[in-house]
Amino acid sequence: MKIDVVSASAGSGKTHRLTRAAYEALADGSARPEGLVAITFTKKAASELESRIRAKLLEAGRADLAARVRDGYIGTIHAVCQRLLREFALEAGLSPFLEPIPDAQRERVFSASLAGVLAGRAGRLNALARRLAIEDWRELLRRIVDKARENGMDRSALARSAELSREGLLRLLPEVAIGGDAYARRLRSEVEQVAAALAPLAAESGAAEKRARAASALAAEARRSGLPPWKDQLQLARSLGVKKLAPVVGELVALVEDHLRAEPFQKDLLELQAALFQLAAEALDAFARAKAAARVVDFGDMLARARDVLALPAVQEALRARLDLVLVDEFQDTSPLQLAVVTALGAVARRSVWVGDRKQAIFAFQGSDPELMSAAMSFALAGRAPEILGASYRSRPALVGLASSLFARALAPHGFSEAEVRLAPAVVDPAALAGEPALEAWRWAPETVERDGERVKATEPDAIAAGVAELLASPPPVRERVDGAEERVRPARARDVAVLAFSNGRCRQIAAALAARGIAARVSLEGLGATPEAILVRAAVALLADGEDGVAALEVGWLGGAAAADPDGWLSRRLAEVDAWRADADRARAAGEAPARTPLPFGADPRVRALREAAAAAAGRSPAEALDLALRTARLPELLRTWPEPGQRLANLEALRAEASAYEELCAAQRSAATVLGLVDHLGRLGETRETGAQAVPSAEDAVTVSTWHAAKGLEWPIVVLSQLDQDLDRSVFEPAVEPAAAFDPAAPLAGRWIRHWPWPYGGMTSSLALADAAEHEPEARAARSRDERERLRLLYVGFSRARDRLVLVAKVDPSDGAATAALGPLETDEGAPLVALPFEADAGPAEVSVEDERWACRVRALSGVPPIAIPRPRAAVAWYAGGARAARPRELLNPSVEPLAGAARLVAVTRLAGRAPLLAGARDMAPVGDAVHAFLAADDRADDPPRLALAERLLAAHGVSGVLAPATLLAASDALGAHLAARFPGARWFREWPVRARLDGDRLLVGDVDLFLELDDGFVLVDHKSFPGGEVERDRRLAEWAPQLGWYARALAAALRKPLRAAFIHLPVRGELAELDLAPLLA
Amino acid sequence: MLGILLSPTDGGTAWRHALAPGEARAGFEPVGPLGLAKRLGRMLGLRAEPAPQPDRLAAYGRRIAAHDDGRRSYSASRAADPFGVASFLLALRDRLALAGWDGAALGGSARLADLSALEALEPALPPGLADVLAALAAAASARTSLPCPLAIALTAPRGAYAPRLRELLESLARLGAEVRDAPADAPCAAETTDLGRLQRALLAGGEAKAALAGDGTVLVLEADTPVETAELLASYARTRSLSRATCVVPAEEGALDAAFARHGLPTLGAGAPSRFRPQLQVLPLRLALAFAPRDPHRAAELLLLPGAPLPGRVRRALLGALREEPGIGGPAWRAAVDGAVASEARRACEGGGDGTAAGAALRERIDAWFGGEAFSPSEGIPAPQAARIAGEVARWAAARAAPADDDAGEEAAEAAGLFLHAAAAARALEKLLLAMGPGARLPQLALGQLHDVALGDGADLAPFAGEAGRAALCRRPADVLAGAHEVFWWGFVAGADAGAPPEPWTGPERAALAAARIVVAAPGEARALEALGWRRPFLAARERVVLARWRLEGTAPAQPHPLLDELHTRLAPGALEACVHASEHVLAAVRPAPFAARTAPLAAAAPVRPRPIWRLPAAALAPTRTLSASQLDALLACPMKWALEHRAQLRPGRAVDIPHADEPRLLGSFAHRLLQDLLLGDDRIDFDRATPEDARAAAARAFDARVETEAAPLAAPGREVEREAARTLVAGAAASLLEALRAGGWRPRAAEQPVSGRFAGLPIEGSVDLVVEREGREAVLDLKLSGAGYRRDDLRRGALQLAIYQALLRSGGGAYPPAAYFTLDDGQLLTVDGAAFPGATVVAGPDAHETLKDAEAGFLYWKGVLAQGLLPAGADRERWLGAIGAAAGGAPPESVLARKAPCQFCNFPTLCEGALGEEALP
Ligand code: SF4
Repeated sequence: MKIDVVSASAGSGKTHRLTRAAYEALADGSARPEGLVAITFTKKAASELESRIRAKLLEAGRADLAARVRDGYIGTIHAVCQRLLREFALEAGLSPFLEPIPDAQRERVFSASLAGVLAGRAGRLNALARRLAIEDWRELLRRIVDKARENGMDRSALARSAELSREGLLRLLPEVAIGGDAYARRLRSEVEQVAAALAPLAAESGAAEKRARAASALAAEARRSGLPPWKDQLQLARSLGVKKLAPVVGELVALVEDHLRAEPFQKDLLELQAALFQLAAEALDAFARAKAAARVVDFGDMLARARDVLALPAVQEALRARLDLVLVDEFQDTSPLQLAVVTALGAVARRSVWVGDRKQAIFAFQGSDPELMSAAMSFALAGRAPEILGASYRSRPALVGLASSLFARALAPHGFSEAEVRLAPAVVDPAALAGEPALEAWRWAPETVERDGERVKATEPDAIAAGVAELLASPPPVRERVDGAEERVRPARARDVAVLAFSNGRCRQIAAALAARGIAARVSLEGLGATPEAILVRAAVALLADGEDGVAALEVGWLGGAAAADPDGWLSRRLAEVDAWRADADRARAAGEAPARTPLPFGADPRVRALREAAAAAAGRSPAEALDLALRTARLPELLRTWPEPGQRLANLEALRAEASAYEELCAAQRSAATVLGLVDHLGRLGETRETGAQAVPSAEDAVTVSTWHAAKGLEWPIVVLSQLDQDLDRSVFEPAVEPAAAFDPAAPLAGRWIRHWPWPYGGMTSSLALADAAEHEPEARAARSRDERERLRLLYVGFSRARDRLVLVAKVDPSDGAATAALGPLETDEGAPLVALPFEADAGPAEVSVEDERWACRVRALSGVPPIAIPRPRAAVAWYAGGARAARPRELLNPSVEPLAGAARLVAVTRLAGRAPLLAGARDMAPVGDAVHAFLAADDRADDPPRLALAERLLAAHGVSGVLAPATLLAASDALGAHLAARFPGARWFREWPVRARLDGDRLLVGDVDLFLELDDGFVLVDHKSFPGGEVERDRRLAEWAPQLGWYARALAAALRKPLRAAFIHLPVRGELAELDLAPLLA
Repeated sequence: MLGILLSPTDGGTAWRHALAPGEARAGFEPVGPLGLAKRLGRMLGLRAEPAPQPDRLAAYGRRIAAHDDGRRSYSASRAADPFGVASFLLALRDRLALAGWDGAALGGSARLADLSALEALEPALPPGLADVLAALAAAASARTSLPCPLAIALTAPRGAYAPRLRELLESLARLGAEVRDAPADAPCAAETTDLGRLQRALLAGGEAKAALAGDGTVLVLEADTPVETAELLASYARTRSLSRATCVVPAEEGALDAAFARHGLPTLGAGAPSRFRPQLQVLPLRLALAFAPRDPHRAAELLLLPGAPLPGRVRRALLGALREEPGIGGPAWRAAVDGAVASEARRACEGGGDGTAAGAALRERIDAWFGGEAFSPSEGIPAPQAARIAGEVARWAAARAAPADDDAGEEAAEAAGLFLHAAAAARALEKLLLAMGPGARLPQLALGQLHDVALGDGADLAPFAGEAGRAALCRRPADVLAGAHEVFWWGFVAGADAGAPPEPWTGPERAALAAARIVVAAPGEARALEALGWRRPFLAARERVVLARWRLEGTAPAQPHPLLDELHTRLAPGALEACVHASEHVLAAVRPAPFAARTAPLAAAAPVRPRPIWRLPAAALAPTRTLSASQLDALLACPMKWALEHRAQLRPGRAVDIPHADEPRLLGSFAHRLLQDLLLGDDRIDFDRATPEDARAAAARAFDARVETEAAPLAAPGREVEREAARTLVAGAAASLLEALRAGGWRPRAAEQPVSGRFAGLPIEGSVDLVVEREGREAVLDLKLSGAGYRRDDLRRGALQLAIYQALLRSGGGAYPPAAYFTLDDGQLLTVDGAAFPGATVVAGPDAHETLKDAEAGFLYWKGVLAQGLLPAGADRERWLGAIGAAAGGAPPESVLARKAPCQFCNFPTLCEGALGEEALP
């Protein structure tokens, strides 16, 4: 076991380093492909790494190894764990088909288990949460449970968390000064008095009315429930701070302001805190039981199971023999539980390489813990220095220099060495870029303009859009990589630009602002279910499932454009139709007849009609196939192509198709039926969770990427715009958080960790609250704040290191307050002075950015954040593939038994075969008898090698009809036929059960077996066995029916043998007859 | 001579190009291992067919059960997933059997030891492919000659065939069969073409890196989505002769065929088997209905399934009942059954038959599908009961599969095939269940697992099975066994080519197997074959190879196919770029395409904008017929909603309309019925003596007794919290209602009392939730689930529904009876008439008379607007106020303006601003 740690700053060739590690080990034989584990952060990264390793092996002429790369465990940690669990399922006592359940299903199982735990207890919690102004305590509970799961905690760890959290909370609370009943009583009487006193004053002013209303509401609430929410009490008290009211309200205000010392307040907080931990523990257990009962696991379980499996001696032994090299990419973002797995893998593998960058650990909010990572790394290094990749292959020297100087200083107090932060530029600027600044500062000023009588405000998204438009209007040169290596310089296009913002909502606004300027944007959007295309697709599927769905018909018609030219006429026709039907129905009723049913709506709309008519075609289709059928039938791809942003629409169509598959997978996981109606319901519920509601991101257009800072990790663009610098990203100490163990134990990286939760009882209220002030001074809060600050620094590092050629910073510059750059707050000296000087307030044009005495050229742009005046742009026609006329075509495969053939055969004669009595098959079901007879006739060459009787016995037994027929009768039947044909066609060569393949005219295929044919010198004889047991009349009718089948085979054989048909027979072994047919009319 | 072309897998028609057009061959058969087994079986007189997999799995499962003493390598896993373990071990066993294992004892690992112990058990395991091949090899060895001369040509290197198959080939060779190896690959395209260069680069290897000219002989077609990629490939395929092509279709069959159909091309008919074909859902749905609470949504899915059991009119009636009271067995359901039975009897009588018998038969059929005991999902259903259900479904499906009349068409034939499959699956399940013995009980989940076993892979369906003129077809690139003019590789992305799973054997196991002469593939052997297989489409193409790939798989980016790495290393840097034609480029015609894609301009769609006002024929809008009180309310709040619902008769789908547990209307109407029945129903409380606590208890009891049949979604597992809350709400409401009535001295008199009369010159009708009485005087109570605040506002501006009821209930011009809302969730009465309802929350608002007057003004206003053919949507008030006001000669009266459109409970938000923000719309 050897673990190498590689510290890889942004752009320093991390993937290259990993590829090299894998390649060298594979090439020198120290690792076998199936002994390679490579854990990446995303599937895309896995695919890229696999591809690079393969390519490198191929380049080196090791195609043998390249082909085997797929045998390695290259994937996300979940994929790797899943494979481990599958391979060691028996050792671990798990199902060998452990599939993690989809998130939607997981949520359902969790809700169900939670429901079980909460049954009968929710009332109390609702009351508590109401008083503590906690809007959704279930969400809080779920967060505690999630944290417990991410950290592999069990019941006892939660109990400990509850205890430590309680201790902490108690430290925040002063001693109780007023008992429960006393407080409630006093509050009630005070508030009644205040309400009574304020009511008459209500008319004085709006504020007075508001106060009066609030007081009377609080009084009513106090009457009803005893104690109103603490936040409401406090808010009322604060609203009463009007001097002249003091005599009336003074008592109440004093009482409420001192609520921290009220016993009921403290009890509420402590009870809720305890209840949440208690419920979390129970829910965790119940969830585990529910999953066990349902025999499913989720992603978290997979990790926990993998960790457990890796602790089994048998597994360790097997893996020790197998695992040659474990590569871990993005090590810094490994979650605690993942770390446990990775550490366990490291313990059994011959060698591990962990590549990561502590400066880029930005997923603490998702449960990863950079401090834990640091501890793990230094343990793995055991005093050795990590390998540091010290050159940047990504960015221009100026950008490398700025990031190095800035972050070396900013991170130094947090334990980062200079070497770990500072990079040397590995690429020099090509000549075409030489005079180009690598930095830009964009500023915009808050302003409001009047437009059409409305006040329009400047916003940052619009300023950014204006900046991007300006930039692209005279595009700066950027470097482009060709096939990974070569570089060429060309003017920037929209797709070279990325804009980063902190929230998804802001990303959407930026994309909209860009769109308003006619610049396409690529952004991850949610809310798939609410897009018109999703509504339309769902309606189309609904109509396919139930043609009577009138609302679906309306939606297909409306969104499908049937109403476009004349919406009023469209709806009028329906109204008229109903009126006519009503009149008819009235008439019918008057005549004592049953009235007809309401006519189905919008039957004239071709899409609606086609969907209703396709119901028959849908009758055999699975839900996902039905969705495809609906798309095709209603011609939705063509339609969406004509909508604005067709790329997005069609991509969403794909997202919806994937939803249909997801629905089927969900049903499979639940082992329940899947129906088209179920799919309709599923599509209707889209958007309930974030995962299912994601829209697809099209890539066809030349578009600006708009992404969150977090999602940008691991990516790079020529030009990167950093926005939302005015955001202050403080997190509250009152959110559930995981606290580290007192000391790190490498053998048990998760041991000793605990969840801290202090409930926050004031909802959105933040200012001057004694509880918050008390918390400020607690060590937990200080630690949390400093953790937070480090995380923010790392996020800034990620943002600053995404650009290859040009980095843009955007800020609002208020003439009085200067540039709003709160987000850059952590970039400061120990004394709190900013480390970097950004020229936001300089004149537009060339300027400089400096860090201490280092300077870099920067271009300043002054932008207007006022949205452009919307000019409705006429949309041009779009091209789409032209459809073609559909011809009626037969199926390719010709089935001789049903394919008609012109002409009628003539029955020549029916001969009773000599020595043959009819087979008296007394079976109820003749089919297996017939099959046995057929099989015997096919195999029997009458040579008695191997013995014929044994053959007959075997075949009768194999078809389950042993007692039904005597084996000897089969021999007799075969002999009789043989003798007859041999006498009539002496010297012929016999072919039994002979395959025939023909490519017929009209592109049709004939695929089949001829039961028997005899080849003569000048032709052939065709024989078909039919184990028909019926009477003579029926026989003759059937003979005519069977003739075309013989006709087709005769044609094929004639072509294959290039000889004519001499005679054709249908052999009826059960009846003991041979019927000769004249097929000539069929062959003409 | 019998000539056999043997490929490593069965299926596909790539062999077609081995025949010239018009050519016929006798004694020629392209097969895979299974086809070969069948052919040899017929020759040698053996029934060489593997048994159905469910049978084998069940048999192996029984062996494992007999063998498991709790200490086996698999024991712990088996406790977690018995069928999973059976299928896992059986797969290992079959793998070994294909590798040549004949059951001899094995060491090397605990699982190998267990496998050999299992192999020794009785009774015989129904044969799999390996067993069939072994039997054939044995039969061949017992012979001295072949019945006819035989030549077998291999299409792939020998290593691609299982050892067991190779063994069979050897025994055939000993009998004189000629076994020919696959010919060595050679370039077949002209050296001067891109394809020719690529073929040579692939075959030669080495340093030479081919440059491509983009001459169109190698094409990479790509687009964002499979749907667009399919359009692009189809538009290309239209310029070619498909019958000369082979198409590799590993995935996304439906998208490709849809495009081919749209382009008028012969469809491929490639499809994958699915477990989710409607016919195969009948059994799982029926089984789901054997568990409590019976799920009304599942019932509706069954009733609306294509080919569902029961006649259409019966299904319609039952669906109506489910919508009214979501559950099976409640009053609405029973009434629907009775109604259907009665009309069935009537029809039978009219047709001269025995009405009673016909009615009884229908009742029995309904009961067979929806009746019987409902078992607890966790305790489970006794195996014999489940077997009986499976048997019934099997019989029904078999009857449905019976050939209809001859010209029923292809779809009917297809459905018949699927019903046969459904019948077989049901039979298989029945067998599995019967084998479990009469004492066994299966929790719902275990039954689901068993059903999965019985169903196997599900059923294949060639949606519009391959049409004449289609390209030859295969599923994997390796299966392109015969040369073709051109080869299309559809789905050239990693996601469409998962590859074989890695070999399962550990080092010690390999050693043990080698010692036992069992030939498992060496590490990398399978992968090397896989990589060779990827080259087939390139090497088999004589004129062109076309790769079609998409960039998105769902919302995730599609990953490139691994072969691309090899192509990149064989080609000059950037060479492939010359061959890539993206859909967006083809459509925009920005890059010369090497084929004439037929594109057509589509007009940009006219914007679908929310319309605040519609102009429609006045006659179609005029309210001339009887209005219900709620219709009137709706009309005043949003004329658009009223017109679409009541004039245009637009209703949601029959299953869509059954409420879920989280929809308030479910509890709303259930709670209504419970409270009404509590006061006035057959099991009513003794109003004079009952205490509020009695009412609370009685309501809770009634809730529990009826929730499964009348509001089943609330009774579903996982809905405990909602159920609990609902029960508490109903029970609390019962107590409060009793108290509230007592406080005012009111006694219940009638529930859902129909009333009718006239309003503004129109007939009007409705039914009053609760009529109460005090000393001969009546009062109206309207029950509402929640929304006291909203009701308060309503009373403040005049509660129309209450006023209408008051007016209709009033006998001959006397005083209006008092009226109040009762909100269930907080148990309060809300009224403007404090005197009549002591203790109620009193709101200052107009009385009935004033309210009606206002409402009449509002109604007449709307009537006037409608009479001009104008129909506004309630929510977009700002946008129509001016126009409507201008047309109607003034702004609407306050009674209209004060109302909010009920958009949350509306089915038509797509037409107004409700669902779609303006920018979201095209
Ligand atoms: S969504 Fe609202 S505005 Fe639109 S029709 Fe329905 S109720 Fe009226």
